[in-house]
Amino acid sequence: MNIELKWVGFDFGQCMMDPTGLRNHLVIGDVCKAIGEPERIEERIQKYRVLKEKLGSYSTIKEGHRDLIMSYVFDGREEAKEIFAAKEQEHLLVGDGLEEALQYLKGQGIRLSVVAELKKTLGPMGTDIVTRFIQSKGLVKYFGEVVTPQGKIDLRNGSIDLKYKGKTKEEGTLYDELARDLRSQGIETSEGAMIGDKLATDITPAKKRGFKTIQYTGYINSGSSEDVDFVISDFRELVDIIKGEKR
Amino acid sequence: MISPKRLIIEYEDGSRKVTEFTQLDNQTWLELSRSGLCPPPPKKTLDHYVLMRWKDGWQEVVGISKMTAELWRYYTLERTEEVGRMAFDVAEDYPLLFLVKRLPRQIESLFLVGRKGSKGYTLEEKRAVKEGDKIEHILYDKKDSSPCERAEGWVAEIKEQLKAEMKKKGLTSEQLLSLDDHQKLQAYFDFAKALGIRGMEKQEDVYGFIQLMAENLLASKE
Repeated sequence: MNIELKWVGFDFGQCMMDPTGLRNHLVIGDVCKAIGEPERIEERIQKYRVLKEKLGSYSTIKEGHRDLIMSYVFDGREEAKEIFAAKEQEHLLVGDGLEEALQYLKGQGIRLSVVAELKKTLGPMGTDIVTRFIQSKGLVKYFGEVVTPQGKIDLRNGSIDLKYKGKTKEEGTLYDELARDLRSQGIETSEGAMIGDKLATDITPAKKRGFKTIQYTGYINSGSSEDVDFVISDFRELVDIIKGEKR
Repeated sequence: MISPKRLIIEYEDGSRKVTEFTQLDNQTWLELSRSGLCPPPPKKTLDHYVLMRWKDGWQEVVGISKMTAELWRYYTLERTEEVGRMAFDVAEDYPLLFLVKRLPRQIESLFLVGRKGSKGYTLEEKRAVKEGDKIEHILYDKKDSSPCERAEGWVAEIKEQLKAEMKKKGLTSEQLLSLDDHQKLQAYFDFAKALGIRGMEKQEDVYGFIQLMAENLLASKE
């Protein structure tokens, strides 16, 4: 049995964006080499690790404490800031089979959006981690918009719709807004699917609003839930789901 | 020798940076003592030591020079690491070995550049040997032309790029090589940046490489 979909939303971190390649000796190492200080790679990697122990995780550092990367790890070296951001992007990978799946879905006339839990206030396109990733990996052509708690970014013209502002995935308010938005375009939630790795933000709240849910376990497997309709570990499996060849 | 108090670094412009000797880490103090500038650091007992005991009876100790210390976390990371091993025959008893940590299997070519000539090697994977958890990917030179021929084109390309960058600064190779050390290092840094060349282990290797290329240009009167 085929599933009829008109819209598919993709989670960003650890789903369409695979951070496997984001290794300290690559990012910190490349920055140190670029600023002419290869001798300090090990010392700075050690400082970065210390920062992680202090704050709990690398994503916490990146989401709210980037200033500490510059002041503590790079001793306030201003030129390291841009290089660090560029190197981070360079070493991020696209999830396995993503582009192949996007091509197929787009070919089927299915609308595609990124639904990301972005914490930083939005600026022009390419200044936040999500649109920067989509642009640098050549994925803009597949997606219509990026939906975030900071607003919805229209990828065709860069405009920002602020009615999503302050709404989150975890509370489900972002999916409420998304459901209204899609309905106004003639798409019911039952005709939409949300793909993500985290049960609490990508699966359960989306399922409660009537979306179909697809758990991506290609990077992290965060366990099972009755709210999951399908499980995939490679995005190519989406093709089988649409064709009704995977249950 | 009497006890040292301060380390003072004086710059060309007359400015100074001062640090108390007691603020120096042990290693720096030790290095300075090796140069005969001061006695070795005094042996002192740290505030804490961690004694680690393994299941097989092995024991190691590590010092903590802090008044307060509580174990915060202990965890291990298990992942497959890939490191390149680049060995050179240097006509001595033992080869010279480098560890390449940056994306080692993505290196496609190597150029060995020296005063007496250059050699280029194009690498491709020939076989993989699996031993337990370890996989050794063996990359060989493709040998589609002689190492010297291959290097010629590449060295010429680098020299052309360097020439273009020198021209932007209004310098000839002769003028570049006769700059004072500070100006020379700044110029080498800028050229290396423009050419996209970085140091694997030491920045002085980058400067040495640029200087070699500049000397090469001068010798060939380009």
